[in-house]
Amino acid sequence: MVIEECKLISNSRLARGTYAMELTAPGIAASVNPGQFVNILISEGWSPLLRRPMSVASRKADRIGLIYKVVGVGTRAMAEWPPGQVVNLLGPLGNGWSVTDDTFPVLVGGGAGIAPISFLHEDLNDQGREHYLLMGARGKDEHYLHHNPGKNITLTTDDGTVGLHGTAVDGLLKVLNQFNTGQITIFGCGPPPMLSALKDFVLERELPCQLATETLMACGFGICQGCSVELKTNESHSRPSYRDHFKLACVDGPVFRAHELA
Amino acid sequence: MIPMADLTVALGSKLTLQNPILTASGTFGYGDEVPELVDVNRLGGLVTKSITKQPREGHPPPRIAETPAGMLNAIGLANIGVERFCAEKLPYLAGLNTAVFVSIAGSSFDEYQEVMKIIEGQQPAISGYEINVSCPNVDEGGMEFGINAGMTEELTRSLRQLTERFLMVKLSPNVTDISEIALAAQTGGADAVSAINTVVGMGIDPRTGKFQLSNGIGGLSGPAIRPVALAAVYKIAQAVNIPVVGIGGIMTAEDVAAFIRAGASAVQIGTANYRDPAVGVRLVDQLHSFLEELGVDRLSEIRGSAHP
Repeated sequence: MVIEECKLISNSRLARGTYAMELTAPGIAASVNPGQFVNILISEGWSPLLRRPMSVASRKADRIGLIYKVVGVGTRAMAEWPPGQVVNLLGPLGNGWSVTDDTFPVLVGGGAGIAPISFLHEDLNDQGREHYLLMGARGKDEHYLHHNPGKNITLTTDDGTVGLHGTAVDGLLKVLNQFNTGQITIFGCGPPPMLSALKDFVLERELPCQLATETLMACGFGICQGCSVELKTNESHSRPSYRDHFKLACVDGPVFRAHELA
Repeated sequence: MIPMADLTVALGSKLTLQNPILTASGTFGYGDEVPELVDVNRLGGLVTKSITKQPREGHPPPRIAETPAGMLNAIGLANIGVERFCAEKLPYLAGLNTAVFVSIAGSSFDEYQEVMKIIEGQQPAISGYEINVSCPNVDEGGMEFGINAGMTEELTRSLRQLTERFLMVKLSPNVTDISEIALAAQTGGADAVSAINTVVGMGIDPRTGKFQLSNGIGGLSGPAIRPVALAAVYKIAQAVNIPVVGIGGIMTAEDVAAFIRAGASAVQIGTANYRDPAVGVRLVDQLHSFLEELGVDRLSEIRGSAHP
């Protein structure tokens, strides 16, 4: 973990409401893994006061990429940053995805959750490792990848303007018969309704699945205890506990096993 | 070499800090979380996350919300409990080369006393304690004691009998007259008071009507409360003759100097740690530069200078 003054290389619109930035961040790039995040200082002043946690979307040599949706005061400010701007990043933070050799990875991303999925997708490509990618959005103009089922990339849209008509989870159901489900692991990240639907889907079918959670967060390194994520309680643990029922997204996550989440 | 200003702080006769910058309870964990980012031995000291007798899981999410120049939190005193604290954290803390204050919280006088007895039983090489009688976020967080002068005095006296170490009582701003509570702590035998804990606050989503914090009520911190804290420190310093440790939205060396001028002997850094975990160490350096700019050789020269 380092605090790094990073130079912004590029910052541009990727699709409707979605931006991508690339920064020189040698210290972070040296050790970041897919699923990990950085905590970004938005303002030297107090508006906003807190850093903004953001999953890393790519790494190339000493650079990292971020993909973000403009949703609030922090991301609105980020979208205005010109190339050359120096940005204070803290990272890499969090646990990241855990990909084992004995499973076929099926990646499911949507909304602001495309960054950690993109990084995993690129990383698996770099390793020459076969996998499947599903990306969901409301409409065609929110997508930046091409629908290409022959190359294991399926897009879904709520309005049917590109790819399969429906949600990413609807898409998953449609492509699932291609796989030997005994050997797949699903990696998911997206807005709360998508994560919730994906969780129900995998629990019903007893599919192994890792989900990257998104929470409000302040410090990013386990000190403020603000980013709690509720896990299922074990009935045998009736005594009060610390970081058992409520884990911290920043240091225990952001990636959790779907069956652990409450 | 440019002579550096003397930042040492005498907290009464019992304890001298190498500089006035402490980290506030609950905003710096147990001090061992980010060794690669902060050399804690360069701080004036640290105050641990509050410890209770049993481990506490804390409140369900959401536990924090951002506000203008501040944040609300209702963590719910999530902590590992005194048993694990003694086994896992105390040896590290005792080995530090800076002042360490263990923060204690409880739901009853007995709980405070028991936690202190267990820690004292370890005979740890720590400077002392901060008694949290001001957490606004849990029913049993001690604030019922901290808003009552008689109970503050009685609790302080009972803990005074258990330790020779430095005893600091952390005060709540959510009272009519904070100097009255500070006096009660002094009468009970406290070596210092620290002020302020967070200011009671609330956030409501205007669209859904839901609380922004699962607990409803939370504590406001950050630069937003700095003037409130400064006024509290000023008032307390007029009322008591024990050292006052200022807390509340301190982000810069200039902020530190303002609290010292209001009568604080030292300060604690809280919310600023979330922006920059190394801020405490940075403030030590910046305070040297700031005092040099003012032509001040010793920090103690400006202490209380705002008072008539």
